[in-house]
Amino acid sequence: MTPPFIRANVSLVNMTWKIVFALFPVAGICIYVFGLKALTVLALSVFSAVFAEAVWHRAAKKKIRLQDGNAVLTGLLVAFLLPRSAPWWIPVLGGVFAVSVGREIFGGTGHYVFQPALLAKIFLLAFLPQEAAGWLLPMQIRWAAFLLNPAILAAGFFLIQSRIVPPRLPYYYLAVILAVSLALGRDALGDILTGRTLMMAFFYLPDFSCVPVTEKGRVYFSILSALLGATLRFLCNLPDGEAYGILFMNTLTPLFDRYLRPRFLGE
Amino acid sequence: MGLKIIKGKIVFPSLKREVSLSNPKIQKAKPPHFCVIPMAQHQGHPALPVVKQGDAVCVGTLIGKPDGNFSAAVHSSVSGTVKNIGLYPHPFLGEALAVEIESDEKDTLAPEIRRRDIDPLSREEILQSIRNAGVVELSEPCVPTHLKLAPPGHKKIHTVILNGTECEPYLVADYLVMMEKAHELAEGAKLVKRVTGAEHVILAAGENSLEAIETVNSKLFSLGENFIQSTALPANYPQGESRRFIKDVLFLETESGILVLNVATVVAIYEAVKMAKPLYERLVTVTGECLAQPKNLIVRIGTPLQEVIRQCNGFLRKPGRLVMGGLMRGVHQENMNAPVVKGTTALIALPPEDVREEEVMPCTRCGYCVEACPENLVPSMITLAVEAGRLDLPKEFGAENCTLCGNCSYVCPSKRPMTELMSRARCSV
Repeated sequence: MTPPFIRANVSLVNMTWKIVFALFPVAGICIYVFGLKALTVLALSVFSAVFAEAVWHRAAKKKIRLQDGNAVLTGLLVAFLLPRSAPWWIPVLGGVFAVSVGREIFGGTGHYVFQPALLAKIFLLAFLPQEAAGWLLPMQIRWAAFLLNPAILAAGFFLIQSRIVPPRLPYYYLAVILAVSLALGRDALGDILTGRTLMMAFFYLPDFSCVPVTEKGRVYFSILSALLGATLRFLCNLPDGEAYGILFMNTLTPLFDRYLRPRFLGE
Repeated sequence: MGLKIIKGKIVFPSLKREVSLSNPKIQKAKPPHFCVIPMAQHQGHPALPVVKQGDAVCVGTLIGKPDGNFSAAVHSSVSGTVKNIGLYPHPFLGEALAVEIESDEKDTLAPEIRRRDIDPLSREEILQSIRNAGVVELSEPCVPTHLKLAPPGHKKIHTVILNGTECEPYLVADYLVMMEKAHELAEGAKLVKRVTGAEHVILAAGENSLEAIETVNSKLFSLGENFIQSTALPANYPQGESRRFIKDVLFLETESGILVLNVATVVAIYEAVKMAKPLYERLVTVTGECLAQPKNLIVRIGTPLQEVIRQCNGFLRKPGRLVMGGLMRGVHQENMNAPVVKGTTALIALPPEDVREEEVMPCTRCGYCVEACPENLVPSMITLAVEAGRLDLPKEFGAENCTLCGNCSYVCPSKRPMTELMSRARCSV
């Protein structure tokens, strides 16, 4: 009953499903290259995430809303971070951990502090370094990389066009990774096109709940997380250094929100 | 795409002007058989009734005298007898003190309403006649015009902006005023310039009403005047009374020395000075898909809403909402006996399919509201603080700058009641 009496034609559920659909081609290429193995990892991760969310909502006596697509998205994002050779319980553990510890412990949509998929990956790496090392993306295969990078880029641009990914985040992130790589005298383009950096920039970094809300905050956030991630990856030789970089910056998001507010008009 | 935000402004997918302009001329509504005239139709103290039951009144007779300087006079809008003075429904306040007048159907004008020569009038005489006529800004919150023209503290006004930017769906009243009352507008602007001593007068209109700007300019040309500059702004929301608007027109981030007047108010000023005509009627855009005949009517103040709707041949079907004012800031009307007041810009009968009750989801901090806020606030943080009971935080985030334009609610993908929470935050500051 309170104004405004018109609302824009946007909805959260729609936005979540758009990200899921944007990931379909990437998942399709993985399945095409690795066949049943990739499909198993993807399916197990998604189903366990969905199951975990249903259980959590049931336990918390909330309305079970699987149609929102949050669990599906989290499950998919976890799967891409896991190796195809992982035993079946690794993706299951990843999906359950991402949804329960990554999302629901904090209160679910909009409340979680860390990117859930990255958190799950770090957890698995810490306790099962052998089984959880490596990614699902077929980047070592040259022709697959030629398919994959355009697919990720296209998905990223689609999400930017649909206002789901704020363009500043991936652009600044990629620029800084590129700059650090060049400064260290590495093969900069090769570093970006291993697929992981692009995936990080377009899908793992721009999780609304874990990044600052203001433009200024987002710029600093992506620059700093890229600096940290590049340092860990290139200088400390951690293949998943970028994940650590983003997760660390997630902890600082509340500070960015509080102290990097825009200048009021007329101030 | 469903959503377009340009730096603190939103662009509506459709302004629906064709609905409101299906009868594209201003028409006069028939005077009602009885009217209910509230004493509180402006910002400030309500007027004090000066008539009593059984008094005979003409059209334009003073029935409420201003209560101090920060108030405005109220006049009768029909001729007849005062039936009662008491609490009546009010479109914005729920219930308020009002005078009910029964019409004698003769429509006799008060004797003091007549043409006069305005050239010899002094500044004080002009201000006094504006005050006597009860002229207020003709959109909510209806600041009395004499206060805007001569602000307390004797601040010098250097620029007057005539605001003809209507940027909400269905609203066309400013456009029609510029199209059909260009002469009165130009003369009124001259008066405003004389009273305030402003150096610049700027007419700002939306890019979708370029022909209206052209009409005003050609009228000025035929009058041999060239003191009004005009500018066209993109037709997005919010334009109008905000710092953002002044910034768009003048590229200044200050409000001091700048006076923004609605074009309809300027016409009312001219009529008040030239003909001593009190503000007893106003242009109301009666529109919406549910209405049989959308019209732009000059309605007497105090006409009950159902009478206005009846003069547009009633509803085609039951509207989902009947909104007084624009869709972004208006008020839903439950009671069809509530009267038209000085701040009634439009009556919009929204079709039921446009009224959706959507489920409220938690804030995901997507930042749409930050992008859409014309005052560069962070509505998501402010509203989250209010919901969490941290009423000390809104001040830090500048909640007092909020103009309650409704942009944050409009863009929110989680459909949170942002404007409501923002007004609570503003109250807490």
